[in-house]
Amino acid sequence: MSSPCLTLENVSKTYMSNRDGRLVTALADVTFSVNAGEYLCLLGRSGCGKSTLLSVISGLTELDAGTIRNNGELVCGPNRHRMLMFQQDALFPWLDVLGNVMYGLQFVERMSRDEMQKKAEAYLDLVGLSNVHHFHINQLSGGMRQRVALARALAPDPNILLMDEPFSALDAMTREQLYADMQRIWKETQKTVIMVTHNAREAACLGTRIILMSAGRVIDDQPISLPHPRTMNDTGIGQTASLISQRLQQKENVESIQ
Amino acid sequence: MKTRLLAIFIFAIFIGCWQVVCALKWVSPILLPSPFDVGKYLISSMLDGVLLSALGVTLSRLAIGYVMGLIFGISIGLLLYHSFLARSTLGVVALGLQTLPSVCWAPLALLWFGQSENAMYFVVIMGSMWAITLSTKEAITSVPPIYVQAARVMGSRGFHAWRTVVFPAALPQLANGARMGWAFAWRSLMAAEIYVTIISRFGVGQLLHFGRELHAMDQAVGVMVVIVLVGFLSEKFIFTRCKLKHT
Repeated sequence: MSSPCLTLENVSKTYMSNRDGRLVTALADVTFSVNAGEYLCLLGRSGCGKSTLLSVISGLTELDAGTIRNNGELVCGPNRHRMLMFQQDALFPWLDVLGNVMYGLQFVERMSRDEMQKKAEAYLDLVGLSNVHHFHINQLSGGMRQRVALARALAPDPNILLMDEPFSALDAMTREQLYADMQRIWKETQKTVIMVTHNAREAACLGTRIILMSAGRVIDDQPISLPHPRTMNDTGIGQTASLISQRLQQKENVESIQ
Repeated sequence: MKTRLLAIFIFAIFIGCWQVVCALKWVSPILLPSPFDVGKYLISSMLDGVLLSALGVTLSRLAIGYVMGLIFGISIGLLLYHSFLARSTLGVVALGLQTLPSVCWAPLALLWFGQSENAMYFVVIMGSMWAITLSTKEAITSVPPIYVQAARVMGSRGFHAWRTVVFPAALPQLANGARMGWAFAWRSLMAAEIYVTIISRFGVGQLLHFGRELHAMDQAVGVMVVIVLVGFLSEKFIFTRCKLKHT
């Protein structure tokens, strides 16, 4: 857990607002690095630039300025080593569960169809979906769909898993279950995870480190040293979450005065 | 099963009433032939081969015209999707021409191609392609961008993304456009066959036209029944089946 897996240097991004055509700063001079095996949570209010940050790390959105390096290699365009799991359901409804998980494997070199299928099945087992391989996507619940999306993102063996508010559309009980599963999967696969969320408790429950963002800037960067596995009912989680919320409030007030 | 029997019963009552009205001469046979006469015409024209050969001619025209309409429609639809200039010029024309009843193409077709097969194809293509064009453009535009983004993240690029993501995602709507195009092609062909007379090859539209000319109303109504049946069967057995397969 030491070598930087991802480094961002002075990353900036502006875009034209659809509403009034004004230039909006989505990211301003963002610099940080992420070590291999970290579970980093990007936390902030809606519109603070956290989803844009995830999108530029994935390579889907181009940068205006700055550099992003993944294991020393400059990021230019999407790449299966940085797999993005979307907030909304981005599963392909014309393929079954197995087909969806196998889709990303066709770009992994030297893999026969049998191997692809075996690997996809193994990842479906990992996310706890061993008996729905041939189900239609529309037959699955919201929680199951996110599990399939997780298996699809993990199957090509990326070195970074990017997650854009993956649990925000789920009900509380399903979310709790997924938090537990997510921690288990993160431990088992030892992936570097960068997850965007606007829920401080969620960040405190899952992350090993939290970066707070406001108006496109990093305003705070804190490690969370509570031991895993954690649950939402742990007293430490509630305390950490309220501390994080307070800090976000304070930093935003200071920024607005400046 | 029960509703099916009830439906058959209602149809039987309807045809029975029609037969009674004709038998009692409440309506002149020149205006409305009896179902018995229509049936007699259908059987005799089936037996002497006139109806079947006309149906063969019509269906081959429909197939050729429709396939060409599909090719043109899908190609222009793709062009509209890709080019803003095409959308703001050809797109407007397509929208306008789609509302033009296909029979309006017949005079132009006669003038350009004379009494020929090409005139028929022209009417069918013009009658069907604009609806296909617009629905192709709509189908591709409405593919959620998140699917393409997800495919790009996993490594799909260019034509591969089109083949494995855009096309299957757009398929239900593309099929709907193809179905609409088929209905338009069928209507257009009937208009073309009534207006464009080719002496060597009679289609069912011409049989209908001659039925009217010769005051043979049993023929006119009989051919109408055949036209409705072809439309109904293609809808029921080709397109509904395709739709079921996809969903």
